[in-house]
Amino acid sequence: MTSTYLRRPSVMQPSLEQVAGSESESKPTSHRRGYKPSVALPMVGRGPGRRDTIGVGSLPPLGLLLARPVLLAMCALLGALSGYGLAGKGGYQAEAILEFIPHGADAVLVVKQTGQTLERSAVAEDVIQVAAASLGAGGNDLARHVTAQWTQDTQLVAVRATADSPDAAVADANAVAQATVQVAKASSADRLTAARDESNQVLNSQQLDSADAESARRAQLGSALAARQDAIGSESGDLTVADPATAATNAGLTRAMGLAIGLAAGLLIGGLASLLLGLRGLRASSERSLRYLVPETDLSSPSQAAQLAGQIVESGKNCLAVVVTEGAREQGVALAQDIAEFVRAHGKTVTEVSLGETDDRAAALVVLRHDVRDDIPAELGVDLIVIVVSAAGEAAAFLEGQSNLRALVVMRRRRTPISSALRVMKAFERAEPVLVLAR
Amino acid sequence: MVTSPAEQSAARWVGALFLLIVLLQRFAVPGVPLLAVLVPVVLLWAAAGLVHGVVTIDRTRLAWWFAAATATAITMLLQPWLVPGAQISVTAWGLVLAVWLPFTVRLIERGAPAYLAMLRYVTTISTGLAWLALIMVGVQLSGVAYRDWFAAIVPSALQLDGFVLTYPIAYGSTIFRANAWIGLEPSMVSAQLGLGLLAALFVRARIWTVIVLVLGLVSTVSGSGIIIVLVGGLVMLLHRSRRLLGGYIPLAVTTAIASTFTPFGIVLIDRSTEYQSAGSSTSLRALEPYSVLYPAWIEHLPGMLLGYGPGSAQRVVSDTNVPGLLVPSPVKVFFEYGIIAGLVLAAFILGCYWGSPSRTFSLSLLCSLLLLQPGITTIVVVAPLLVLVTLWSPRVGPPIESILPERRSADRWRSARPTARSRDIGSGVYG
Repeated sequence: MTSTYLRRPSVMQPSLEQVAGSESESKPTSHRRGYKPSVALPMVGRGPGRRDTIGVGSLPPLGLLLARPVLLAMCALLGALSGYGLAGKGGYQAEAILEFIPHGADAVLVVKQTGQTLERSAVAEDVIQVAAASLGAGGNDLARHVTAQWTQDTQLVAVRATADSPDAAVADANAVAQATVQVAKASSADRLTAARDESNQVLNSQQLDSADAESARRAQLGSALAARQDAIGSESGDLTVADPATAATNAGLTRAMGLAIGLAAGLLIGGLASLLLGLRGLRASSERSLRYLVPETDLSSPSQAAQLAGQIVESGKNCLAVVVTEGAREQGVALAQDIAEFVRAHGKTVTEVSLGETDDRAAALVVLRHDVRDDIPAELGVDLIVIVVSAAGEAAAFLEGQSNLRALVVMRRRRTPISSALRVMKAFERAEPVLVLAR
Repeated sequence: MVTSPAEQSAARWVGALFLLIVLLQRFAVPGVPLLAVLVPVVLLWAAAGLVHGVVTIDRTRLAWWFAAATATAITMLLQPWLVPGAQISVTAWGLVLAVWLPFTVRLIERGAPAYLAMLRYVTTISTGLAWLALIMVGVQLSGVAYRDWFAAIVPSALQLDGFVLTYPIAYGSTIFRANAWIGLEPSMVSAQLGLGLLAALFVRARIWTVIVLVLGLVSTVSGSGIIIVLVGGLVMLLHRSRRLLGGYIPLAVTTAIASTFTPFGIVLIDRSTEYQSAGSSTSLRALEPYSVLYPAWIEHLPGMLLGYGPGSAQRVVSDTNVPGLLVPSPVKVFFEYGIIAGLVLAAFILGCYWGSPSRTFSLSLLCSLLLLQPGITTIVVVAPLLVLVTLWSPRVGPPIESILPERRSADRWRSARPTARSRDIGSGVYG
């Protein structure tokens, strides 16, 4: 099967001259040489560097998220490394448990009051000083690294200490717990002394005249003092270190947790960047990635030329526009040839026309006129005309927004920006365009 | 008013979601008594909606969700390093993200006809809930002691923990506040009934429906729904929709006055000034959390900027041992994530209130959820926002308060239906 690819079909010449007048075939296009057409052309915004304002519709955000796998992977990696690096810097934490036994009729209230009192007294200055003294030089700035917390509905108070090393954390927690008990006992001793002094004062400051009465008074005072000392003594023995700290754990995030959070943060940053970038600079790497982004667009490839030819034959349209995006002209021309061959195999006559960017205006005025395309067999004497036009050229503008043709938009893998291709697809929306991804 | 099959479908989907929220609010994920089953259910609903083409992902909100998630994740990495006393619960952070992830979708059919059809479903479901609440109260008034039938029937492994299901309407009373047995708390049932009452007004429901809803509201003895109705009514008064209220105001006033002669109404009246009392429910929700958490928040500058860690606000509140003290949403956001990430998260959350077809629901839910209802992770509290506001945003056409109640409003609604192009608005144009 042979194919003649016509740069300028002879059947077009009369019409070309008729419309374009004295303009030669090689007349430069308007935006290159300041050419002003003799007829008003409704096409604007095709010059280099100018963006049209036609929207390409909404794109699925999930497709956008998956469209930049390398970016996602890089962000995830950096995030994981950062998380790993940042975690584990909270030092180490150790915990000692204090236990108290409440006294009183309303045990629930007393437990709450005692627990909350211990929360404060365990980190009070006098306790911290005793603990720091027992630790020696290591007890500096202890108050900032120690906390105490009563666990609700229990008789337990947890003393937690953080430090740069596990041993220091354990030592600090135990020192503060011991100091709390020690201070409580010291307080108890002070109270015993005070009780004894008060009793002695009462005992010695007064004396009854009756020896029996005096004896009874002394006995009563002695009993009262004994009862009071018993009460103070029993209270002092009610606070103990139930579970001293023996090992320290990581304070804050562990390395593994930091790694996981960093990984998540990286993926989220990558996802956010993908969403915000949209299609900017994005090129299709595969048909599958394109399907994620434009799931409702008809996609094809040059290897499906036979199928495309069959669809065109069945569509009843007499004009096929192969619109090539930047860098895809060679692939577009080859596709047009393949399709033409298949259409001929179906018994149709086909004329192929390739309109270049530099000389397409004059030809476009003749070949691409709407009324000509309405009746290709009568005007051109063939069943089908296959026109290769550049998406950036003005010939393409002649065909946009019309429905009496079929359009194939050819883009190249890893070369053509997806946004450019979609903009062309939008412009040829009424021509039921198919997006062809070529290598 | 005629609705298209697509609009009916959208309304049915959202109505089904509201029904799930009402029915499943007391259920927990099996084996995880503190995680509401509604969290995965709402996520699954959104996924199913995406698969069936009922909803689509809103690119703007998704970007904000990603921004909030990113900011909070980075903050979480810095907190242990820079903030003294920071405590991090990764689970609490994950819950925030999971609860708010469905807010990144929106309906494809978002026109006023679909919205009003959805409000009819909300009205019907709320009326059913109100009947349950009234039955619960009626049974108690007839002398039968309150019993938690839900707890008796449903296995304990499927019941959500951590909520005050109900309690007597007054100290020593044998009558318990109505939670309709299936409600997580009387206040949450009250909020759902308040939304149902507003919906009933918009769809011009029958008189008896409104009466049942008002009585149901009173039976909960909770102000949450009343606040919603008051704020919503105020917004309606400021729009053309004030005409919708005309027929209902005498009825509502009569019902409200009549209910003040009941024990429920008396307690409600007493509660109207309770915010002035320390330890009252209103004070514990709206005032006291700030006085407890603010001093802790400003204790360290890095803590103010970066927060004290996900879940830390709840720990501080728990440590006070004050029963009923809650963590309001603004406090949770800024205390736990700090000013920097908190602003991003707050912007995303506030964005979920923006652009719905009804300003009434947006503003009443904003007041309720940010001031009275606790937290941003209680799915039963935030899910009505999804149902009534966020799924329908950005709206198509004018807000329904402006187009109601014209005689030929059906035509206006019809003209406000989304076209193929208008449905794309909000997704942006790429290129």
